[in-house]
Amino acid sequence: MTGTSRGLTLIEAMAAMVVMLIAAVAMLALHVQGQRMNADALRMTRATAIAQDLANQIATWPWGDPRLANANAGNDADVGDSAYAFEAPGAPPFDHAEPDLVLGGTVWNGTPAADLASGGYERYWSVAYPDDSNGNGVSDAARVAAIVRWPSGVGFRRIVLLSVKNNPAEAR
Amino acid sequence: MRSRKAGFTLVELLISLVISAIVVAGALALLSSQQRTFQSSSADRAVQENARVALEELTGNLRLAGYGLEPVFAFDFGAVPSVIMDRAPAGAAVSIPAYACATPVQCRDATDGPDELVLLYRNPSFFRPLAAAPGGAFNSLDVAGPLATAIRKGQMLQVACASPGVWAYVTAGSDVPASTADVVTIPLRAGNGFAFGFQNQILADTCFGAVAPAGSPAATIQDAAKVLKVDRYRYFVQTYGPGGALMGWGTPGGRPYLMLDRGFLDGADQPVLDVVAPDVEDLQVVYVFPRSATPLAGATAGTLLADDAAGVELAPAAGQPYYTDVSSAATRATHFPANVGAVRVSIVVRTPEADLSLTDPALRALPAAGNRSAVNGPPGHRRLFFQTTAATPNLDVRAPFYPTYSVTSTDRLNVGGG
Repeated sequence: MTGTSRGLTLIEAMAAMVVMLIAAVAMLALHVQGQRMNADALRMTRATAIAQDLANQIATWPWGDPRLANANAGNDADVGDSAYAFEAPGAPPFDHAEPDLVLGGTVWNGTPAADLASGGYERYWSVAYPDDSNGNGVSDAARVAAIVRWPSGVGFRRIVLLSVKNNPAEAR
Repeated sequence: MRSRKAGFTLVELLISLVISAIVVAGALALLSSQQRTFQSSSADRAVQENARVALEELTGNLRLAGYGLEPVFAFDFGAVPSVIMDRAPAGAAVSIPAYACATPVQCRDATDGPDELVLLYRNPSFFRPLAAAPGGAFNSLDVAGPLATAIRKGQMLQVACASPGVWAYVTAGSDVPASTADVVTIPLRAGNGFAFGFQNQILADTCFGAVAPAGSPAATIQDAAKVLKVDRYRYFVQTYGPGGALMGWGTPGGRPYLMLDRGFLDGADQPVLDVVAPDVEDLQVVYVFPRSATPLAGATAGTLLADDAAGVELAPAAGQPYYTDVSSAATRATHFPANVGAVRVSIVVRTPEADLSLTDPALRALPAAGNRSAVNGPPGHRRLFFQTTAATPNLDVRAPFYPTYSVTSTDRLNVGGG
């Protein structure tokens, strides 16, 4: 064996420790990222519950309910918001929003607005009447999209639940 | 060999010791903070997972409530006497015995704790044709095999014949294992009369003579009397202590579970309970009667759901709704259980482990929900509150639902069963 073999110098050992520390801090950042994604998942779960609440309440509304009026024809081609307009900052292209839940003296039986406050959730629903299979000028069904969005970054994130409400007079 | 060796001086050693101590201290601090972060995010994930499981289970089954049954059977709020059933023999009044209920309606509700929810529906994925006409004392049923899944003791069965259209509800008296035999015998619990779940006597009707032993042609199977399952789901919150001892709601040291009781009994006649999700601290149920002038029942804090017009009314003055009643009829505007149009459920789920370093009093709060005012739970848990609605479209039917059962896969009829 030669006598030239040497151990690590103090500087080398310290440099190694610093590198390890930097790696550990990076791992911490990973945890923070994981926690942020957890929080995202939670908001998504809550938003889904709120949207299901809205969609299932809409299912109990009778045909002809004032809340099912096509108040905004501009979004009829895309009631389900495939263009992600609800994720942009500013007012989205909705047919109905929170105040309309009691439109025309109707009663809202779903999740009260007070229970939504903490998450910044906003509820909307859009309605379109494109179906008329027998061409008699009377709609067969309403296509209803229940949309819930919440603030994220500079804009919003949103989820959409689509449902169909049949016109009992046009049932075949 | 050289005689002069270069070592560390004492000062160098001291300096290096101090520096490495600082570095090790930093690393330890990092480690413990990472561990805390990991624990809290894994608890967060557990809460979210349990909440999703519980909500899926509750809303999924609520949507099916009343499927294939007369709507009056969809929700069990206690005994209902003298219901004229569409599918009982002509003119026969049926009584509904309560399941696990001492005081009608109030047994399902609490203003200072979790509610209970009991719903029923016909199992959509099971049917067996009768292999022989019921006879004797009507204490067993012979169905055509094979029986792909076991039938549990306490399973309710709907025996339906198409012509003239009579349904009997009976209860399996013991476990029947899965079987490939041509004829499988299901013992029934004794109970003649017109009580829901014990209508063995109705099996005397001649229409149950339409049978299809194993190997019958498809047309015979389609026309034969069918045995269908009626599944009961009783959801409630139960707190267990170490060693499985029952504990009062909110007792520190206990762990709350969302439990499911399907009405099955084990060999010792003890109820078989299933866990739906752990750490579900609260279940609140609000019933929506869309055609009533006061649509909500169970939503006023401090007001116990009772057997009256503001709660759930088991004997309304307007009478019970029948299939022939139009949706604007007075009988459909009452708080009778068959008029439930949607059910709003809310749950509180908490972190699994109590962390007593969490001393913020706000963390203890269970927000007001249903008719329960805000209360404090045991300390040391973080909590999440979820609320949603499930509509019950099956209670909207205007005719008894008797699908055409098919044994072939090419005719596009209901193949799986009823």
